[in-house]
Amino acid sequence: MAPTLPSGDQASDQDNWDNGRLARKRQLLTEIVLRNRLTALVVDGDTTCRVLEQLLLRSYGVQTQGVDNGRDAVALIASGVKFNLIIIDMILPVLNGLEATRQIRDMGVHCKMLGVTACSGESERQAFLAAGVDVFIEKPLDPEHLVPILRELDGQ
Amino acid sequence: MAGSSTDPTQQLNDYIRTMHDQGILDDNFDQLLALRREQNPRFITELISMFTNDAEAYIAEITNALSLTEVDFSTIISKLHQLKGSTSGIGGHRMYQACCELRVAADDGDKDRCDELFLRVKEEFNTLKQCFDSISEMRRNIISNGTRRRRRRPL
Repeated sequence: MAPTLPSGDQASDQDNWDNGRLARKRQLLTEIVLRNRLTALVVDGDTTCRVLEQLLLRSYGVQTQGVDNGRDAVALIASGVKFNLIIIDMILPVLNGLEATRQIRDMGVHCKMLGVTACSGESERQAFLAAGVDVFIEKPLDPEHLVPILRELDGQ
Repeated sequence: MAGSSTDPTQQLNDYIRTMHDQGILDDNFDQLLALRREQNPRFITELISMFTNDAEAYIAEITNALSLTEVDFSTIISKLHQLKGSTSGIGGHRMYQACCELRVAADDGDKDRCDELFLRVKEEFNTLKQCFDSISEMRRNIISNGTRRRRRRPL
């Protein structure tokens, strides 16, 4: 079912989108209601990607924090901050995603880790999974991949 | 309601559909539009601006790396990775494809091929920028039309 449109100057142009792809994407965005408050760390060196991933997570009610390099991600986890979900890119400044993932896992962190990267080769996929991510996703992160994971984390 | 060719919203719809047909935009751009509903009205404009600024910086760094006597393929691959990721997120399909092809050449350490394919990346970036400029302009028209209609409403 299509979501209720808010009032205001966005209503008329939203009403008039006749793109079936857009309607399907919008339905995916409203498909899930989380019962629990979930938190996620987004680790991506690119601002656009980091912002997009955080916005997508927030659209589902996930509280997010973002860092732009692997060293800061490891430091944040080492400081004791806990997350239900970590989304991490493979190629990162300072400390790359593979090594950052290994170090996070070596700390005994067992939360769900998604390797979301523009790298698409099988060797990259195997390397990221071997480093410790649970799921390898080629960018961009989309609801089709994210929603089932959020449901699982939410115990649905 | 059937839109006329002068209806700004219909014009924007038609323009985006054309961009899809030409392969300039893909479904990931549609996902941004769906996300927009959760955000502020200027979300798309701000995101496009963010993408454009970062992409220009990446392109400048790749240009520099390619111009070195000893080509810095490591930097090219690193910056290209980020450019590829943000391009896919924003829905720039043809530009993304161009980045993928350049990545192969960079992995092979083929400078001549890199030069050739990087030219295509820059061309597709310019095409995508023009597309986004047009979309932003049309959206501004829609918003200002909406503002004018609200002002004309009787109290």
